Amino acid sequence: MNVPASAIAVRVAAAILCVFGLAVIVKELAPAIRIFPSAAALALVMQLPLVVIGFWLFRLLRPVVAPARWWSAAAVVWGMTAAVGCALLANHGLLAIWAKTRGISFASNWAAALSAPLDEEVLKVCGVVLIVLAVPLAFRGPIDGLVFGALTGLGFEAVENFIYGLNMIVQSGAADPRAAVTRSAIVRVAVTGPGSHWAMTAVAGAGIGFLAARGRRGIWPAVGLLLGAMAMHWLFDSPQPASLVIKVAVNFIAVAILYLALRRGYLARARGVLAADAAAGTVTRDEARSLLSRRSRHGALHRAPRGPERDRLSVRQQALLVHLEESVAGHVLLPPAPLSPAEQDRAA
Amino acid sequence: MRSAGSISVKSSWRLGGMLAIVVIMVVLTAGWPLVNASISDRQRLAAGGTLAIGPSRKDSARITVGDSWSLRKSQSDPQQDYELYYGGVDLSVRYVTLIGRLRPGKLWSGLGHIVRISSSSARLGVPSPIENSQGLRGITGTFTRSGRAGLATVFPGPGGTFAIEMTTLARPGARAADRAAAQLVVRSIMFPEVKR
Repeated sequence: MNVPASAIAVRVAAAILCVFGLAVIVKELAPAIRIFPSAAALALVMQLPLVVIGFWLFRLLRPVVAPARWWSAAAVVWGMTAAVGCALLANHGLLAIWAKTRGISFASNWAAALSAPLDEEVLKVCGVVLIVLAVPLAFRGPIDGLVFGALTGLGFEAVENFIYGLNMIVQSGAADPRAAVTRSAIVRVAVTGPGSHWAMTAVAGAGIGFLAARGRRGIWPAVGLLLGAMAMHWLFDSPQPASLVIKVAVNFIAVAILYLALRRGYLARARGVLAADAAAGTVTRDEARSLLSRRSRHGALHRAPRGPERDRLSVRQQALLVHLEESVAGHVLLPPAPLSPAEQDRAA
Repeated sequence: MRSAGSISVKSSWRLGGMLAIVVIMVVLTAGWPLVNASISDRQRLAAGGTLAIGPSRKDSARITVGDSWSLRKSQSDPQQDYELYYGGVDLSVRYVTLIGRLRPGKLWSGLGHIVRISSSSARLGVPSPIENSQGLRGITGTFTRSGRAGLATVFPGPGGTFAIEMTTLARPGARAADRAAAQLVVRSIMFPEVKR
């Protein structure tokens, strides 16, 4: 497949920003890792399940078909490198500005809540925008933005958790570094994890999905959802309410409601497309029934005898899925080829 | 059937969008640090003023500074740490949350590791006991880093849930009076929860 030169330029720029972010992270953390190597390794290992399970789970969130594995990984890498590295520099500057201009007591309570939402939400969602620009085929609407946003936030969250683990070593006097990183990881994965960066960036990413799918008409939803993500982040970092559980619950419920609404709309449009195709005779009722579910599609494939018939069914499923996705996204496409009499007999 | 391209992006839009992203990232990443660098970091402290450190009154300590002490605002947080300086001496004060049982020896070796994060040449000497005016016991010893010398001191809090770690470092050419002033601040530490 031919990739336009402009898309290659975007990919190169994104890669350079990721390398820059990684360099900042390494420079920032290398001294602590050198002093506490085993605790740092433990902190890193404790984030691996989060990344692996999150990656698998968030790709499952996409109805019907998971996003491309390679670009899903690219979103995670952006969150881990470019977004975190740039956020370290930006936050360092803005946090200090609050302390210098409003005093250290004000900054102690409010600087994080007034800095991180602005810096981090923008830096994370920049990765989602770059994926739209570099791989427009990966985006068909807000649900894709939500999934890529969640993946970007996941990468950011994992590296931030690692950094917090190292910070906890210092904050606990380095009396027991491994206990410090373990405690930090438990709190940040099990307690705050469900309502942290993945949720915020999923909301902002859905806005980018609206913008990508609707053009100018998507500007206001995009702005609104980015502000929503910032509000979630502000709540998370603000001194009130003090209860972490409330903050996490609010953020989780917010992203869950948005996801369910987008998913419902997507599936309703998909069922409409399939009903029309079935009425036109371009898909069978069985196909229309099984196409929306990954499990049903796999079941249909496994029921077909091995060999050419299964291969043909697999090709047809892929073709129908492309048609379905494009139709749901509102693009006018040629309908799938009607079934031959022999295929209709087999389907019957 | 054809895959007509999900969301078509013109090349000019794509390059413009990429440029916009790069500009946004540069503004955030370099802009805030530049603005920060243009603002003074110094806050003069009143002679005899006290600084509280810790998340709550129960888990906190207070130090009292003398005349002409200043604070670095960008590196100070009343809940966690202060960076102070006077004449040719720097004083760091840090609140430490204890995980598990209080073991002063572990805190001392831990502090020895922490100071090496900023400079691999940093070293702590052998600790000896020290007592504050409330009769609370801590440990103190020499501290050297990059050719500078000073003292490190650790005072465990009364409840065994936190400790205060202080390090002083004299710049080359610092007067003996500067070092003495720093030691006075270190010895001024008080814990509100201790009644005496």
